[in-house]
Amino acid sequence: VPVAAALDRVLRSTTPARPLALARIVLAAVALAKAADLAPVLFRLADGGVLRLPYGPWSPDPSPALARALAVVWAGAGLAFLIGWRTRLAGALLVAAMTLALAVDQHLYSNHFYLAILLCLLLTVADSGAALSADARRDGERAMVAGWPVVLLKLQLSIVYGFAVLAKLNTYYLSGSVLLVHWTRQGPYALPDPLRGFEVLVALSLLALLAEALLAVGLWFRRTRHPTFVVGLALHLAIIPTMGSTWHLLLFAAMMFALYLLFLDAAPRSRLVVWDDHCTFCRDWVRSFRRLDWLRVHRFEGSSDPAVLAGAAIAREEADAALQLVTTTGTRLSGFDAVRSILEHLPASFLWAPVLRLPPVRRVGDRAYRRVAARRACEVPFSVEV
Amino acid sequence: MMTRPPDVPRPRQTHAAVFSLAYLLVQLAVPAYMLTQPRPARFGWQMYSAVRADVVGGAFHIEDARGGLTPVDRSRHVARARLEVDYLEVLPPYLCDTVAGAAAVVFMRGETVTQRYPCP
Repeated sequence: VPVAAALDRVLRSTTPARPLALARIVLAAVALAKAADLAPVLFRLADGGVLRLPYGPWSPDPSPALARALAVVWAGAGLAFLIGWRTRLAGALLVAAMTLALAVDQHLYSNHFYLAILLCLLLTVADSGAALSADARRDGERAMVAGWPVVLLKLQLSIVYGFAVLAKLNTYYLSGSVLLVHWTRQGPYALPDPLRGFEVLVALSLLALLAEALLAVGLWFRRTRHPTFVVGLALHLAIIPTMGSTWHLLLFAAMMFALYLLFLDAAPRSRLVVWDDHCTFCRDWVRSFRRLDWLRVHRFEGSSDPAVLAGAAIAREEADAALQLVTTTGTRLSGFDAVRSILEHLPASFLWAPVLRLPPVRRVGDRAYRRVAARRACEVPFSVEV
Repeated sequence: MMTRPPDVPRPRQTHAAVFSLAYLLVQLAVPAYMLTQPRPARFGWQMYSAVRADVVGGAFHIEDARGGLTPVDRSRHVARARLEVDYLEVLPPYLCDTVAGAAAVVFMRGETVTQRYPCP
C-alpha cells in the first residue's frame, strides 16, 4: 500500500518545465554530436570490408541507403528536438533513428550512446518542449509539467552511477589495474611515474568508487545535494582529460550534468531576492543574475518598495546593509550567503557554487562582500528597471 | 517542487504507471543480469569497471603457409574497436575468411603466442 500510494503521488505530481527544457537542449546537442561521431562508423560498416557483428538475425543490414537515411533523420530530428519544434514528434524520430543505428552492429554500442537514447526517450515522453522551445513560442510557455517522467530521469541517473559502483566491486578494478590501463600516457595529464605505484592507484580507484556511490544517492537529499554536485563536477573533470576518451567523456558529463539540473529546487519565482535598487553596483549584479536565471526561479524586488519589505518581514536596515534572499522553504539568507545561494540555483554556476560554502572561502567571501557593500555607489533613480 | 496547481492536466495515469514500472523493471533487471556476465558487458553501466586482460598488451598476426608472421592492423578490419567485444573469439575467423593466404591467426603477447587459430 505505501508503494502504491507513493506511485500515485508521483503520477499526480508536477514539476517545473524549464529544467526539463534545458536538459532537452543539452541532450539534443549530445545526440547531434553522437551523429557526427557514429555516422563514419555506420558508413564504414555499410561499405563492407570490416568485421560485422550484428546482435542477431534481426539486426538491420547496414546498406549505404539505410546509413544515409538514418543520418538524415538523426540530424534533422536532432535539430528539431534542439529547438523544440514539434518536440514530441522530433524526439520520437530521433529515438527511432538512434535505436536503429544501435541495433545495426555491436561496434556502434557505447554506454554514452545507449544513455543518450534512453534520456531522449524519457525527454520525449516528458513534456520537454513546454518551455524554451519553438512550440512554447507558438503555443505559450507552461511553467509546470507532469512530474513522473522527471522522476524516471532522476532514477536513471542513480541507476547509471549505482551499477557503475556494483560493477567496480571486483579485485581487478580495486587493484588499480583498470585505471593504469586507461590512464593517458602522454601529455600533461599523464600519471607521473612516482604516482604509478599500487597504493596510489588503489586509493584513486577507491576515491572514484566512493564518488560514484555518493552520486547515486546524494542528489536525492536536500542536505547533501549541493555538495554532491561539486563531487560530480570534480569526478567528471578528473576523468575527462585522463581516461583517454576525452570527447566521449565530455558528452557523458554533459548528459549527467543535464540530469543534475533536475534535482534543483526550481519552482518558478519561488525564491525572493530583495536588493538595494538605489545602488548602481547592485543593479549591475542583479542584472547579471536575472540574465543567468534561465530557470526563472528568482523574483527580484527592489528594497525601495515598503510592501516588499513588509511582505518578507525584512527590516529597512537589513535591506540597506546587504542583499536579502528568502528561499523556497522560507529561510532567509543575506549578503554573501544570499549570493552563494543564488549562484547555486543558476544553471551556469550550480555545479561549482557550493564550493563557496567551505568555511575558509565563506570567511573571505563574507569579508569581501561587506567591504564592497559598505563602499557601493548609490546613484540609481527609483524608477530604473533591471 | 512537486505541487499540483489546478491548471495542469492530469497525466494518463494508467499508461504512465505501466510505462514507469516497465521502464524501471528493464533498467534494473538488465544491468543486474549483466553483473553475472564477463565484464565489461553492454547495457550494464560498467564503464571503466574492467578491461579484457587477454587482449591488453597483445596483437594479432597472420601466419602464412610457410610459418611467416605478418602483424594485423586491427583498425583496418574493425570499424570501431569496443572493449565489450571479445576479439579473441570473433576476429580470427573473420581474418581467415578475408586475408588471402592466411593459414592461421595467432595472438601474441610480446614474443609469446597465447592463442593460435588455424584457418579451416
